[in-house]
Amino acid sequence: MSALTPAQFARRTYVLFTVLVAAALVIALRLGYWQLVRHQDLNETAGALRERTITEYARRGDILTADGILLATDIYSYEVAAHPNLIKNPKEQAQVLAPILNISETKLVEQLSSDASTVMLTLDASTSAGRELTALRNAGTIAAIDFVAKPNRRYPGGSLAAHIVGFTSASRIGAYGLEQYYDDLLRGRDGKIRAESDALGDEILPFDLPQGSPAQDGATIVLTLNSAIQNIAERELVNGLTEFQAPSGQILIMEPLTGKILALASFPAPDLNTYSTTKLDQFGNPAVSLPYEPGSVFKVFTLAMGLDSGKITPNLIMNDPGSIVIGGRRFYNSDRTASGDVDLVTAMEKSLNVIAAKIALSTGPRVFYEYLHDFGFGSLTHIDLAGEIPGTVKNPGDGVWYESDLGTNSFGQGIATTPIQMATALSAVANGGNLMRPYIVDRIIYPDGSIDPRAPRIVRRVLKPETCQVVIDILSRSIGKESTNKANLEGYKIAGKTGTAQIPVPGGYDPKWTIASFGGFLPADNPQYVILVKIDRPAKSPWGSQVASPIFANVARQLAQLTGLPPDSVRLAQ
Amino acid sequence: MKKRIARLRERVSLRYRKFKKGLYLRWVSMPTFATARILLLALGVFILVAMIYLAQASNAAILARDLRVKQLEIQEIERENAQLRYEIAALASPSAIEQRARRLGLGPAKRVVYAKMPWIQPSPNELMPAFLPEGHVPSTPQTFSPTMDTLQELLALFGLDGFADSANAQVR
Repeated sequence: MSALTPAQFARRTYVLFTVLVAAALVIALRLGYWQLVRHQDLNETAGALRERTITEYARRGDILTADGILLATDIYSYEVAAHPNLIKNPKEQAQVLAPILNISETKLVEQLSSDASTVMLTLDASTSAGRELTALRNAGTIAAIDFVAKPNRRYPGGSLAAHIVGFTSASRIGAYGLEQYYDDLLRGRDGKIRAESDALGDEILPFDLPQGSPAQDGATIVLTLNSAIQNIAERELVNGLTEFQAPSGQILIMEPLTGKILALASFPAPDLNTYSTTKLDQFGNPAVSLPYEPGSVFKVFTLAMGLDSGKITPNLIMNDPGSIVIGGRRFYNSDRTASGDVDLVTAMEKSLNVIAAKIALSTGPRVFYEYLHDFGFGSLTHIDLAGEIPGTVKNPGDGVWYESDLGTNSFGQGIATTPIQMATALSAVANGGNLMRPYIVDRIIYPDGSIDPRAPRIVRRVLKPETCQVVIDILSRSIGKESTNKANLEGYKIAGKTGTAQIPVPGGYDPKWTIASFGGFLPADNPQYVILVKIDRPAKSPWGSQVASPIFANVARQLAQLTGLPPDSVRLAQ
Repeated sequence: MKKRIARLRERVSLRYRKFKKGLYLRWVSMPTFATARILLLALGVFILVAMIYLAQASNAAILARDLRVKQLEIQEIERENAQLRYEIAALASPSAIEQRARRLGLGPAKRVVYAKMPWIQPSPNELMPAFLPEGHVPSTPQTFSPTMDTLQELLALFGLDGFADSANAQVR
């Protein structure tokens, strides 16, 4: 074979060069086609194969009492699923997974050997199990096992303040109480993280920071509630209901100067951790959503109206003939007797309906209902709890009001209020005349550390301070005189009023059952606490003085001990 | 006309041959050492820049991965922390504490005794103003100087007079 001449070599080199350039051009064109024309399409297909979007669940905010006791929080559990069609060694994997997931090895082998593409192994693996699974996956011991941490709402106190807290459903939506009222704040926002996965679908750690929007945790809510006071209220409520054979009741403790709710106990109280197996009607908060006729406790307001409007004076002697006719309807005292000439202390002590009706008559309907609305009856208190109702007040001129309603309303019948309205109105009397907006959230702490404090808010002035002093004095003296009233507390002067209200039923009032209640302040000379006790349908005795009063005394005694409120003799001697 | 075309073809052919010859000469002529040195230097610079870039990118990727690993570890620890907080809260709930206290024989106080201790005066800040009558001005704190008499008073208050005597005797 003869050697190539330089000219031949050059020609062949040119040919080869041309071919290579042409080939490169073809490749470049093809690359251009894939990279430019089909870019988006291919990118999406590739992304779908290697990337997956993981939901990063936001942590729902905690709910705490003022003294730092956790009422609601999120804990995590793992949902663990397997892809059996991608598992080659089901027995070995089952052997490793069984003790971690607390599932029998036989069952796991069966699940991991099935033909299904995905099998859910457990919905509730512990956080320690999650940690072990992560280690095993990183070590390559397990494959084609998915596990995702999911927050679950838990209530460490069980039924403590259950009606206030409410619950969060499995779909992470707040229901009832604060969980519903502050759902938007507590919920936060779930995040979406794009992560890469391997051929088995397992997440692999990327060589880049994860993309997407991180989860934003919910805000923490700190309540005005004190767990120890709440516990006292709940315990004494249950004890009282047991003793007086009553099915339900409420105790509300409020700070009259601020409107802070210190305790709000209702029974029956559900265990929030087992909400799914509890009847929903147990979750409604009767203190804000169940109206009742308050009965004689309401006479406190009738007395205050009369004094504040100047229609009666503190030393006024009134005649009780035993009955009175208003609007063509005759009203009697509860014992159907006449007391003759009585002062206001005796009228309150004997809880005389006739005197209350006379005071209402003296003020007149216009003034009476103006005060009644100023006290907040018939309208929402706007407490930050879900499900509050305004109650019902009939007004002159609205078509359903009759003159006789002035009489019935004066002693707390024919009017529907809620316990929170009653406690708020009693607070107005106790604090010197300001109607406060009741509140149960003391502050909200956002995830960034900022704090939104809630301050007491005066809604309006209802009474003059001097009127309140007179009312408290009359109530205090009437309780002191009432030998049968068990609300009296050794060492402390209290002010308050009992109530024994009939329960309205279609066509009149229930002939058997009553609502026994007591609303009082402690200590009388400088009220720090308003306590309202309401017991529904007590079987042992129908009377507020026999049923609600001793419960009030028990709560008040422990409240004084707990808060270090000394007896009057010690306190006033300082 | 034919002559003109023939001349033109001749000129084009001549130019093509000259061009081909020039290319060939360039192709076959060996580069000088100076040119090669420049080319090598350029290649070296290119490789160096590429290595620096790759090292940076690699470091950034490793750091990002480490960061993600730490983030996941923090998440795990936060989850365990949440579990522990829940368990502590369940044990610290008032009803749980009350149950444990009752098992220990404790219960709500049936009687509270207030002892007068004039030698201890709380500072105005320590007093709860809400519990004091309006216009009350707390007295100036005094120095704490307990005597055997005050100890005796205290013990007597709790029905431990005998103990006070024996304590006194020991002191004497």
